[in-house]
Amino acid sequence: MKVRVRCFTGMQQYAPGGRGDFEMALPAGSSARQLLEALGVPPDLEPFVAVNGGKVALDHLLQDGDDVVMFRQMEGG
Amino acid sequence: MKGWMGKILRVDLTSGVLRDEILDPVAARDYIGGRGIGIYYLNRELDPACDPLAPENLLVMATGPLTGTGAPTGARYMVMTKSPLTGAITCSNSGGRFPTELKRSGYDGIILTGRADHPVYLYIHDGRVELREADHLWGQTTHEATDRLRGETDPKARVACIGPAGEKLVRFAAIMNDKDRAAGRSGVGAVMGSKNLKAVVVRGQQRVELADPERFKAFNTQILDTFKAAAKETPLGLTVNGTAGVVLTTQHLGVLPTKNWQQGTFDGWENIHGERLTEKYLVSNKACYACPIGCGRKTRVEDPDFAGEGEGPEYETIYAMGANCMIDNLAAIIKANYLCNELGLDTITMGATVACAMELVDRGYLSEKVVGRPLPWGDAEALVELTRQTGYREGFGNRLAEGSYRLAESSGHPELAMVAKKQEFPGYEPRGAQAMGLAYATSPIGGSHMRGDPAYFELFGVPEKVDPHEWKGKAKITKAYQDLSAAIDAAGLCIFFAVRNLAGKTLDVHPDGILEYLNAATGANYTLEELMQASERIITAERQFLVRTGISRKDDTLPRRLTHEPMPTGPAAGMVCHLEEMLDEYYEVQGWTPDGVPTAERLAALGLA
Repeated sequence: MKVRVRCFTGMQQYAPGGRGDFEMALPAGSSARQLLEALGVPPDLEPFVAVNGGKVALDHLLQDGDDVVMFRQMEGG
Repeated sequence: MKGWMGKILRVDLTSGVLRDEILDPVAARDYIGGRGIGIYYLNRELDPACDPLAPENLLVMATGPLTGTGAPTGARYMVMTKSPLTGAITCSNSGGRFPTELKRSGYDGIILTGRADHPVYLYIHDGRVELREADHLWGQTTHEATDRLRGETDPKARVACIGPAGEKLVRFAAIMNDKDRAAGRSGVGAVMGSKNLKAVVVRGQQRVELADPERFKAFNTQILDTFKAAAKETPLGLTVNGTAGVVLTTQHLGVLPTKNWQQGTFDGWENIHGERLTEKYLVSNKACYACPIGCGRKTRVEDPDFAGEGEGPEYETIYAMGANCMIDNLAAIIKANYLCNELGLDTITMGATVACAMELVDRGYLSEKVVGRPLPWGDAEALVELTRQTGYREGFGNRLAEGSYRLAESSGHPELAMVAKKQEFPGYEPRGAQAMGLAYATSPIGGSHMRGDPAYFELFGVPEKVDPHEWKGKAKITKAYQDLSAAIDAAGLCIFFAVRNLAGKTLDVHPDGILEYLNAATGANYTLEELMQASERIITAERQFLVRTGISRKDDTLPRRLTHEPMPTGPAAGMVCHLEEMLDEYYEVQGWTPDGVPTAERLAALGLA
């Protein structure tokens, strides 16, 4: 399956070729955590991952055509 | 006294009498400073029934014992008064350089009352205090007045002043210091304008003495080392993208207020978030005195329609003027922010009031003829023009200058004002962040995130993650953050450093790092329990003042939209804010009656009976 991935704050460095917006092929039934592993994200990083507009837990199973956004959480106001 | 300067300046603008007063050491210990000292004086001296724009209203400007000490982010002062926007108390906080300069001039704070018979400014320098003529400054923007004042006093002086909005009593006029830092909320600038006071100019060269400099230095080194190590590990945060980086989080949790709070996600988010700001408009970041973060944004816009240079925007401005108005043109948002800084307006209320007007027009409750122009959702040019009109109370700006509640009420639909106690909310949707709803409803100043910000738990997981959709147990968390913010505000610190680095790391947030700084600076030997009790005293004293103005549970409300209309779309779809259930729990943990009134026992326990 293929998913669209967009990397923001603190995650661009894990995007292939440094492009923050790319398509990624993954085995069917992959989780968000497996996507992070495939990108070489250290396991203790635990970025904010959103699928199709909403935050998901890292064991969330991805579907073909999903839109994934990931970033390191910031705070403020 | 150490930490504190031990002196308050009294200014009666009616008579022109200026006098020094000793800061009561017992009051200083019990209320710490800043916000605490503010409520101490307001509760003793201000008639709760006072018209906020009458000469009798008190305007208190107060630093905290850590302001100007070199403690990280110890750069803040608090402006407290009765608000012309809400009719309740307000405490509006600002950083920059002015607060430290005020303290170095020898004063912990200034208490202003009365009304001058013509425009004046207050100049404090070299142990002298004088009121000077300001006729020639009336009508000037905050930037023009600041340059002029530094030119005619001392180029190193620091200036807090109002712009045309404060002069014209716009109900959400700000007091701007160092040109672009704002004590922004609740119309403190209108109170200053009502007193015919254009500016406070300070030049100070006194040192803030510390009770135990070695202990202070050792703790400072320890805290800054910890901070630097964390920043090295995670070189992101507020320094890189400012608070605007938060758009990413709120959008993907479905709590980015959009279309006057009709939805919690904005399709145009990619055009307005922090990275866009950094890539396209950032000149450099900017730090307040003694701040290791530097969340301030110096920006420049070259787009000829919105060209300018200045500071901002913050997250709250981007929510209010951007998503909330369905505007994804970041250049226009920045331009409107510049105008707010120069005219002296609160960006949150300005943006939220334009969004309210857009909904009133959209639903046919307000005609384009009255507005003087079409006002569709997403109209970037309208945002900029209406901001300018509001600052001068021109045309439809004269209606907007009253804030969203009065605009919506006079249009027959007060339910469309997204406010608590008539003050517009910051940018976190309570339907998807339940404790924020409770914090807004019970904040002493109305809709605010600065007088208690449980979003740190619910949205950012600091210090621990909690489910933002759960309402049970949120009263305790909300109270804990309200108490923490009282300690931060009273000490003279900034929430951005203190919450993460100086607070306890459990759901029972407690100010242990602040305690160490305070004791090293003041020698007051607070115990943690005493400091936490001081926070509770401040919160309860504020409530005591509100109760005297007639405020009770009936006023601790949110708009029906947030409590009865399920969020239509996004990650928080189907949610409402369970305010009433949380309120029952909240009053209980506060020791207040079910009607929201502090009990006699509670008041006695805090020395407020």
